[in-house]
This record gives sequence, structure tokens and C-alpha cells, in this order.
Amino acid sequence: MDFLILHDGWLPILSILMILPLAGAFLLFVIPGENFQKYWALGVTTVTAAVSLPLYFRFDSTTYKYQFGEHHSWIPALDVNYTLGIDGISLLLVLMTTLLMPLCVLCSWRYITTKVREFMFCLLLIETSMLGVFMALDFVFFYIVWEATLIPMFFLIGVWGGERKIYASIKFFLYTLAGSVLMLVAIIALYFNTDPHTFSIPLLMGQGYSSIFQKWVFVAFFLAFAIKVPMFPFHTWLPAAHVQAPTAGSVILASVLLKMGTYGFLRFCLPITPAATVTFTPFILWLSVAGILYGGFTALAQSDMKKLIAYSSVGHMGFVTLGIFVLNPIGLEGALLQMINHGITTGALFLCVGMIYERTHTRDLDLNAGVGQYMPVYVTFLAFFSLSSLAFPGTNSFIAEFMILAGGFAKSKLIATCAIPGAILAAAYMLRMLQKIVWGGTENPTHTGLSDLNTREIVTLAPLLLLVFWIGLAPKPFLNVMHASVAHLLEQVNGLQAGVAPMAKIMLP
Amino acid sequence: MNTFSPFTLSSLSSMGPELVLLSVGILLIVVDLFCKNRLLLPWLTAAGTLVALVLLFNTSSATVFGNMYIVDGYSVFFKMVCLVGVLFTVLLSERYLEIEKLHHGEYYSLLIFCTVGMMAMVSGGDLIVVYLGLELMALSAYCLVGLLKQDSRSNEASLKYFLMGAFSTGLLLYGISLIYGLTGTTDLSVLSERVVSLDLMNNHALLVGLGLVLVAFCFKLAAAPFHMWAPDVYEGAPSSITAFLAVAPKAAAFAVLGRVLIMGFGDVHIHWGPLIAFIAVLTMAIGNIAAIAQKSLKRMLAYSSVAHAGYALLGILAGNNEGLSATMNYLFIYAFMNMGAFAILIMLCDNKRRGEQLDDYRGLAKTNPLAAALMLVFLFSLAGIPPTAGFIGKFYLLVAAIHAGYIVTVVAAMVFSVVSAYYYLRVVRYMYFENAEQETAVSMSPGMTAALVLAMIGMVGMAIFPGPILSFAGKSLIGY
Amino acid sequence: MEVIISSKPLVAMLCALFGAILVSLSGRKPNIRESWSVAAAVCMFGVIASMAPEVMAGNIYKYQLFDMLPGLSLTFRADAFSMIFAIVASFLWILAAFYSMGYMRGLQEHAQTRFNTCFALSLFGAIGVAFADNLFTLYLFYEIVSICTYPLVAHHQDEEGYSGARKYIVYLTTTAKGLLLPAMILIYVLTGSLDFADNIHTGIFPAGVSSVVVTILYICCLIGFAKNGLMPFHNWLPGAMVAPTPVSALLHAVAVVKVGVFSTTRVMLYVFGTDQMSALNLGVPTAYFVSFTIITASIIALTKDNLKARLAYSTVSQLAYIILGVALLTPNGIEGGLVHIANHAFAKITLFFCAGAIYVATRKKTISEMAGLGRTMPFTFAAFGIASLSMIGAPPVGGFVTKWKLLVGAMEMPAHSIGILLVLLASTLLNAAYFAPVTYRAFFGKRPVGETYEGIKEAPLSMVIPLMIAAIISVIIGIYPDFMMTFVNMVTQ
Repeated sequence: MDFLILHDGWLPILSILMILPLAGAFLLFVIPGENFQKYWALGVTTVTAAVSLPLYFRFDSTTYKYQFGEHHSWIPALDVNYTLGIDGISLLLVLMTTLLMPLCVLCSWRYITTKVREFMFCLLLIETSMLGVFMALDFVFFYIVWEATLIPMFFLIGVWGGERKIYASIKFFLYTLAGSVLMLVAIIALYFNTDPHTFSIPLLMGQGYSSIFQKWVFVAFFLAFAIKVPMFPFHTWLPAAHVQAPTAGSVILASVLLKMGTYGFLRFCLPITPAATVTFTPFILWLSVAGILYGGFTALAQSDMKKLIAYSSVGHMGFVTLGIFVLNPIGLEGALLQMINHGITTGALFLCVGMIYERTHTRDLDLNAGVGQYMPVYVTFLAFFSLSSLAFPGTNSFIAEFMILAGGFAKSKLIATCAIPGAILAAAYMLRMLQKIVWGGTENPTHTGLSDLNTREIVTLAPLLLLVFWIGLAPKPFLNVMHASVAHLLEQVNGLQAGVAPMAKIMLP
Repeated sequence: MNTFSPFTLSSLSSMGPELVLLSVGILLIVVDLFCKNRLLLPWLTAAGTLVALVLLFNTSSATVFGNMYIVDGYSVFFKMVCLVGVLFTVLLSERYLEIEKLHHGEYYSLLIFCTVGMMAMVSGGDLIVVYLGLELMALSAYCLVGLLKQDSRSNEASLKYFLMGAFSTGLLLYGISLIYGLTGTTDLSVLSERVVSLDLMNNHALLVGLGLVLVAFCFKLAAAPFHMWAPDVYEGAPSSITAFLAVAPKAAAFAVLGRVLIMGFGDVHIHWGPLIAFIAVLTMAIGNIAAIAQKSLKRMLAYSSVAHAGYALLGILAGNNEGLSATMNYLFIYAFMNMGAFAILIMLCDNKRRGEQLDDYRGLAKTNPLAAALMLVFLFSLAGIPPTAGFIGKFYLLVAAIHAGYIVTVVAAMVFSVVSAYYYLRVVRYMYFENAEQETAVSMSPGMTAALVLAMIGMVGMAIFPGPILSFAGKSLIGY
Repeated sequence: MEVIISSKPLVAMLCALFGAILVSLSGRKPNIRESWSVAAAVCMFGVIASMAPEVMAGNIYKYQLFDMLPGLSLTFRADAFSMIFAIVASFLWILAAFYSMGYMRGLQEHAQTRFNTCFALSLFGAIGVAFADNLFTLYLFYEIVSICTYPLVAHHQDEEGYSGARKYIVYLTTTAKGLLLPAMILIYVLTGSLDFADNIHTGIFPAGVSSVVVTILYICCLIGFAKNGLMPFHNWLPGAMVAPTPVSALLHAVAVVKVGVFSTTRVMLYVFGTDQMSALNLGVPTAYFVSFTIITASIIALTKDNLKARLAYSTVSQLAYIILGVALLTPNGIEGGLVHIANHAFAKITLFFCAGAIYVATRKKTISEMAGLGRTMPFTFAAFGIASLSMIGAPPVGGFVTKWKLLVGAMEMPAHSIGILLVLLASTLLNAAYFAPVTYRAFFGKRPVGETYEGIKEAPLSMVIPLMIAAIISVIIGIYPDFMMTFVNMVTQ
């Protein structure tokens, strides 16, 4: 257990983070009145967010070990444990999750008119399982919470979704389920190939499995994570799910659920199957590039705002996987940062789409053309988030994309160069959307009577805008917590020495 | 092992639960004759079952009647599963019989006799005893299936079940006789020694005998390709009996299969292992794929039950204690989730509709949110989606099968479990995503409430604390 | 040389930023709004001017705002090079602020608040480019300029406006994202830093970097800063002519194209360095490459009857002078190129102001319609004439200093002097050919038949005075070039 630093004091903060939303969810059933239920959900998520903040301040960024650890035996017969802990890779993802949830509640305030209690129940339930995914250090527990996210999401899409919600929800569910079942097989195979048998994730790392075994395990993991991310040929569930999901569902889906895939790469593929990772790297890099370009071109052709952003996600996540698999510190840290950024920016964009949809009841670009004239505050927010999404310098995505591409150039100039058109495309489709919404054409649909954002909506968007610029201009507080863990991760993958300043390694020969 | 233990009264004490049930069964017939209060029967049955359950855990391990009847941890576990199944069935029956206007006192006594038969099967240390128990169970079951005399489906089911059952019994007997002819014994513990000492490991006649026995049990398990009777019988039988059939006799058949294959023929695992693997995959494939096409929930659950037999076979397949305990654990969990699902099905059954068609579930979440939510949990559990107990059960099976090296079989199992998610989700879709055409009036009864609460407690408990049942199953095997 | 850590460069930029915010908040009161514009412009110029003495003394202002990654930060510096551009831009903003007040009100344009806000934001970006201390900061503000000028170009919100604006943004972002961004990242990967060098010679590349890679990077930068209007990526500039005239003036003289040229030269001198460029023999090909732009754009300008279009192509041609000068890599050449930033700015803004004044007064756009107009609008056309002289390079106007320096610079490279000299000669003739007739016709040409120019008088004073001031300064920096030359000389030392 030397990989785990147990939590100090008597409060198991990670468990508390998971239990708070869960308990809040079940308590919803004794709370009468939709309004109270909304306030209750808001309160629970806010308290969870507040409780999660000390994680950052008490995080020890000098060690790669898992912190705030908890360890209890769960199924002794199989040595399955309830092990929690976070390191530099998961810390920010946990914080992002807790931060986004109150915003998801806020954005559903008016959007959700039926079955409010059940909706909030799903939201809180999914928060618990998402946090569990990022905190779990035991494979069985991880798999359980990983799959558990599907059920609330299935309902979020299926019950409160758009016209083709049934198709979208079932496709989402089956697609992601199909991806992850093989992962379970791989997990069990790992268990038996390790001596002593264990499901403890950190203990499975660096075991030096045989090369062929690594490849099989990698493929099983890859399928699960690539579908979740989604990487290029496995992305077809995403636009359907995004378009049909309610705003909060889209936000959660884009901001957190997709990150679970890339998190999986970082946490499992790289350290557990390093040899296979290195073998498959070229293919994955090219898949990432394909995803970047495909996402960009497809987004350019969309007229539905949500679809546009959904496809842009495919492109952005392509950058993340590119950053992960260049396997150098700057690329990895960039990928990790991009995961956070994508959560913030794309989440915010989905919130924006939801806000306009509540007013005009359409997400069509042409029908929403020219609302900028009537909603100046709204388009200001939209503009900043769009710029962030196209990696405008000074915003969060730029710094991450910069790092990823720097890592890419350090790895292979060809691949990085091929990814560059993705950056251009991002600018193209985002500016196209922005142009349509803010300006429209010479003849715009009439939008008189549209009200600009109210305080609740501004409060929903403002924290995200703050983060856009904070990360964009001063990313150090976010990057500092990653260094030790990323360095350790790379050490596990290709034997790079830990503690080397991340930048020193990027020099080309 | 060959020492003959004479019949003594103390031998009877090892059969306490069986004797209790037997007397309750007879008592039921008597009470039915003289007492007009219909409610007395189910509660008497339930009480008898509970007493048997309590006695079960207070019976010490023993081998009685000259190795013919074994009371060990293994049999106790399976008896527990059977008794839980019966208990559920009784609780569900109370209201169901009223709706179906099925006022037969013999319903409960048949149920009890069927249970006694299963318990005999489970404890059978000799193929003959196994056969006896099996027949007692089967004959009772044939009657139970046909109890809805007015319903032609029920009649058809009963007849079909009987014919198929008789056929499989024939095969079983033939198989047993072959084995006996080669080894000179029907005693399972002696059998394994003889197989080795007589060097019969690769004897074709023995394998044919074993194959015939296997086929007979596959009939009972409703494992493909011997499952054809199952959907029709399950659909035609009274719903409570369907629930019962899908759980208890199946568990008993698994118990025997485990005992015969692992205890009696453990050394020829290389021969029956691939066969079981093939049957398991085929069962899962046919069960799951056929279930997709069903419009009737009851029939869908019938196919799903076929598929679940395939999953449970994964543990047998492993051919070791680990696998066997995984199967036991799974059957126990399956009892709860399947009973839960049938409880909802019966709950929605009223005079106007049978609650069997998928359309009956349209918009259930709106008309009866609690029932929908419970059904949801049972369905997700049946689909084996975390964090439900069904996943835990499946997980152990996979662990065992992978440990034994059947990776391909496991991968197939996983693929079909995704397929199964589709049809379970379809029910969820009907319940939650579609709107109701009509109001559903649900009348609860104490028995139904008790059944649902019990099933729910079991589900949640086994999901959060999955350890105890598995370790119980594991411990049951130690003295084996 | 001494480094002064001071936030003054940042303060100068914030003047514009806060100006923009205040303008956007006071949209309902035009007078207050415009006074914010002017106040911001004056403040900014004041702050920048206050830095001039120290910079002239050879010191450098530096201020690091955010440290992002090792070797990547948001840092500002005010050195002689940036002062050339900063002083010109901030001063011209004052003129433009007054001028646009008159223009926009004179034409009763819509959305004046948005217009003024974006105007101020563009200046914010332009000054940011001037004070950038590293490639990242430069890129950041370069992109801000692109985005903030989009609403200005699309101001009229008609079909023509949108298509011009679309072309504008497509050209600029595509080149920036497609060429600059990878170049920047690759430079970062190669050197571990994006900071500019301290002098124009050394560059920032360590020894041993592949010359092929450096050459590719150089080409990416040269073309990537598409705001510099080099052919073949110049097409956005004539397209952007649909904007209101003050915007054209701003685009051409101050914020946009100058940002492009400034960035190009900044990168040529402070990232690649003259040593590296000479070693890789990049200077001369660049010189010939831009010569093509000089000649071709001038020829196209000849064919344009629309005054603003002619001015636009003139800009394309003149910008190339600046790059030509720097590409000569000789001290005189560089000085000539850099001083032309100022000379061209004053002259070109005068020309555009004149075009705008003519339009406000007469609603005329084409040159052929303006025959004989000079007598009705003498001040405007006098200013136009003076500015034309500067463009042509005739004494005593600013343009002459440029030409002189460039010629000297060209002579310093014997091997190629003849070619460069021919280019300069040809372009001077062409300049004269397309500028001289405008003034000549206005004063001496025959009025079109039936045209009486009745009721037409000079444009409002708020327009005429700025354009006169700009013209006069053009003359002053021609007669007394020392002020600008001080900075320029400091760059080459």
C-alpha cells in the first residue's frame, strides 16, 4: 500500500464527496414541491463543490502517490477492495466535476418542467458515479461506477430529451456498454496474470506482462475508452446523444463523461500496458488526427448548434488523445489540461445553446440568426466561449492546444502538421456559428421580444468564463499539480526519469 | 466410503427440513378439505418453508442411508436457494391465484412436494436418489403448470412439459444404466474412484453415458439446444409457477449437475468442459437473441431465463470450486432478481389484462412510479449492469471462467450480455419513455409487499455487500 | 542598456481596453461616448510618450504579466523598435477618433457604439503587438486585432459587407492558424522559449538547428502574418474596403496592416536575426519576392477608378517597401524600412481621411467623378496632394526619407543593387502615375458636364482638421526626420 497516502484526520473526504450527492438524491424523495427540490439539488451540489475545494489546497504536488486515500476490504474472497485516492491526474477532473454540477442544476431551472424530482435524482446519482470513476483505485469498484454512469445518463436523455430521444438514449447505452464489457474481461485477465492476484490499480502498473498479453489487454481497454472519448470511427453515438439530451445532460456528457475515456487511457492503458502503448501509438496518433480533421469538417457542415458543438467535441478530444499518445511530458500535461478545458468550454457552449433554445425553441443556426442584436450579454458570453473553443490565444484551450502540438512536434513533425488544419477548421466552424448568431445575414428572422440573460443564467456562465481566462492566462496553478504524476506516468511508460523538469525533455535532436 | 451406514432414527434428523415440508404438504391437503379460509393455505405454506429454512441451518452435516443422502454445505446452500424460491412463489401466489380464480388447495401442496423433490435431488449422493428426487419434482411441476384448466395455453404447456420431461427422464435413465454398467456403481463418490481405477477416462461408452445424463440435465436447465419446451411452458404456466420454475428447479438441476460433473466426473473435465462451453454459448445466444423478438414480457423473461442458465453454466464450466461457488452465488442472486421481476409482472395482472404484454408497461413510470422503479432495478440487475447485484453475480462467473482459461467463451458471454441489455432496456423504454394509454390500478397484498420488500432488500444488500454470500458459497464447498 | 521593470506598456494598453469598456457602457449618450474615445486615445498617447525619453536613452521597459509555461509568458516590452509603431499608432488614434466622430455623425451611421468599441479594442490589440516581448504575446494581440476588426469591416451589415468581412477573417485566421501557430510551436519546441532576442543580429535559434527547418519557419512567418498584405495573400485588403472610411484608414494606416508589417519585421529581426538570415541567404530572395508585390500592386492600382480601391492597392505596394528594406539586411535598408512604418502611416491616413471627407461631402467614390473638385474642397485636396508626394517619395515629405534610405541600403549590397534599384525606380514611377492624376485632375481637370458642385463644401471641421494635421506631420517628418530616426537608429545599432 505504499502507493497510497491515507487521508489524515478523521474525515474520509473522498467518500464524503461520493456520499453527499447519493444521500442528497435519495433525500429528494422526502422533499415536497418542485421548487424545494431544485433548491435542494442546488444546495447539495454546491456543498459538494465546497467540500471538494480543500482537495486542491491540501494536495501535495510534490509526490505522485495517491492522496486522501481510503482503503477498506469489500469482497475478501477475491481481494476486491474499496480503495479511493486521487493524484495529479484525477485531482482536476474531480474538481471540475464538482464544480460543473451546480451549474447543471442551475441551467435546468426552467428547462426541465416535468418530473423535476426524478431529473435531479439522476443528476445527483450521476455525480456520485462520475466522482467514483475518478477516485477509484480498485478495478472492480472502478468498473462498477464506470458503468453506473450509464443508467442516469440513459434516463436523462431518454426521459427529458428531444424528439428522437429513444433512439439516442438506447444507442448511447448499448454503444458504450458494448465498449466496456471487453474491458471487464481484460480486468479479470489482468487479475489472474498478476502475482499475487489483485484488482488494485496501482499494483497492476509496471508488472511487465508479456508483450502479447499487453496487446490484448490494450485492445480491450482501447475499445472501451475510444468509444467513450469518442475517437474517430467510434463516435457515431455522440452527436445523437448530444442533440437529444437536455442541456444539463449535454453538459455532463461533454464535460465529464467523455473525459472518462481519456482518463482511462492515462490511468490504465499507459501504465499497465506500456509496451503495447508504445506499439500502438502510431495508429492512435493517426486516428486522433483523423478525428481532429473529421470532427472539424463535419462541424463545419452542421446547421444544428448542438450538433456543431458535438462534432467539435470529436475534434477536441482528438487533440486530447493526440497529446496523450505523444508520450512526452508537455503533450501529456497539455492533454490533461485540454480535458479540463474542453469540460469548461464545451460545457459552457452547451449551456449557451440551451439558453437560446429556451427562448427561440430551435437550435437551427439560420433560425437563430442575428439574435446578437437583442441579446448583447448573451452573445458576449457566447463569443468568449466560442473563441475559447477555437483555441484563441489567451484562452484556456490555446494553452493546452499549444502544449499538445508542441508535444506533437517533438514526437513527429508530420503528425503535428497534419493536425494543424484541425485548428484552422475549429476557427472556421466556430466563427461561422458566431457570425450567424451574432450578425446573421442581411435578412434575419424576427426576434423581437427576446429577453437577454437573467441573473441566474449569468451566474451559471460567469464561473466558467472566469476559468476560461484563468487557465488561459495563468495555467501554472493547474499545471503544477500534474507535474509529479505525469512525470511518474512517463517513467512507467518509457522509463523517463522522474523529477526532470518537464520542459527539458522536449528538445529535438 | 463404502461402509454401509444403517438406517437409524438419527438419520432422519438429518432430513429435518424435508420432513417438515412433507408434513406441511400433507397438512395442506387436510386443511384444504376442512377449512374454508383460503388465506390460511399460503401462510401455512410460508410458515412451513420458514421453519424448514431455519431447520436447514441447524442440521449438521452428515451422510446417511449408505451414502445415498448427503447433507453437506453444498446441499444446504442449494436447498436454501430452493426454499427462498418457494417462499417467494408462495408470497406471490396469494394474490395471483385470486385473480386467476385458481382455488385449488393442492396448488400449495404440489409446490411443497416439488420442493421436497428438489431437496432430495440436491442431497442425492447416488444417481438413483437424484433420479427419484427429479421425478418427484418433475411430476409435481407438470401438474402445477397445467393448473389453469380453462386456459388452453396452460394445458398445452403442461402436456409439452410432461412429454419433454418424460423423454429426458428416459435419457437420464439410459445414461445412468450405461454408467452403472461400466463402473458397477451409482454412488457418486465411488464413481469418481472407479473412473480412475478402471481407467475409464477415455472410454467412449462412459462418455456416451455421461453425455446422456448431461442432456437430461440440460433439459431441466432449459439449456440450448434442449430448451425448446421452456418458452411455451413458461408462457403457459400460471405466472407464479413460471417464476418458480425459472428459479428453484433450475437451481436444483444445477446442484445435481455440479455434483455429478465435478464430484463424479471431475477427472474427465477435459471431455465435458468444451461441451459445456459450447452449450453455454449456444444457450446465451439463443436465449438472448430470441428474447429480442418477443412482444410478451412473460415470454421474454422465459427466454431471458434460458440465457441466464447459459451464464450460470460458466461456473460449472470452470470445473472447480471457484466456479461452482460462483454459480451458486449467481443462482441465489438470480432467485431474487427474477422473483422481483415476476412480482411486478403479477402485480400488474388484473382482471382486464394479464400484465404480460410489453404494451401493458407503457408509461408505467407515470401511472405507478414505484412499481416502475422496482422493475427497473430488477431489469438492470438481470441485464447485469453495475452497480446492481446481477453484475456482481456475473462478475464472479466471469472471474471463474477466465481463471479456467475459457476466454473466448467469456467474451461471447459479454457480447450476449450487451445483446440482452437491449431487450431489458426496451422494457425500461416502455415504462419510462412512453406515455400510458390507460390508468393502471394496482392492488397490493401483504404477500406481494413482502415479496417485493424481500427481493429489494436482497438486491440492495447483495449489491453493497457482495462478500458474505460468496464466502458462504465458498465455505459450503470446503467439506465437499 | 538598462531594463526598467514597469507596468507602463500595460497601462498604455489598458487605456484602450478601458476606453472600449466605457464606450460600450455609455452607448446611449453619444457625446460622452465619443469623449471617452478621445480621452482614451489621449491617455494612451500620453503614457507612450512618457516612455519615449527613457527609450531614447537606450533603456527598455519590461513587464511580465503572466508566466504560463517555461519560456512562454505574457510579457510586454517597450524598446526602440516598438516605440516606432506605438507612437505612430497612438497618435493617429487621436486624429482618427475626432475624424470618425465627424464621419459617422455626418453619415448618420448605425451602431456607432459598437463601432467605437471595436475601434478602441483594435487599438488595444495593435499596441499590444507593439509592446509584445515574445512571439506568444505578439500572436495573442495579432489575433485580437483580427477578431476586433471583423465587426468594423462588416459594419454596414449588407451583402457586400458580409462577404468582405468573411474574406477578411478567412484570410487572416487561416494564415495565422495554419502557418503562424505551427511555426510558433515549432520554434518553441526547438528553442524552449518564444522570447525575442535583445538585438536584431543574433536571433533565438541555438546552433545546430537544421537550416531547412529554419527556412521553412521563416517562410511560414513571412506569409503567415497575412496582415502584411504580401501577395498572394493580399486579397482580403481590397475586400475590406467596404468598411466605413475611418475603418479603412485605421486598417491601412494604423491597426491592421501595420500590425502585420510590424510583426513580420519584428520576427525577422528578433527571432531569426540578421546573422541567421544572412547565413541562410534568406534576405535577397525575400527582397525579390516582395518586389513582385510592389510592382504588381502598383500596376493594379493604376487600373482602379474607385479611390479607395486605388489606395488599397497602393497600401499593398507600400507595405512591401517596409519588408523590402528589412530584407536587405543592411543597416540603411533596415532603417529605411522601419522609418517607412511611420512615414507611410501618416501619409496613408491622410489619403484615406481625404477620401472619407470627399465621400461625406459629395458621396463620390470614383476618381473620375472628382475632376475639378479641388477648387471646391481645397484643403482636402491639398492634403491629398501632400500625402501623394510622400507616397511617391518626393521631397520634402516623409516618403523621401524612406526612399533615400532604401536606395542607400540597396547600394550597400553590390551584387543585387541593380535589381533592387530598378524595382524602386519602377515603383516610384508607377506611384507617380497613379497618384499625381488624382490631385491634378481635382485642381485642373474639367468638371464633368452638368456638374456644378452646388451646395458642396468642405467636410465638417472635425474631419478636415485631423486630415490637415496628418498631412502637416507628413511634411514635418520629411523635413525633420530625426525624431523617428533616433528610434530607428537605435534598432540597428
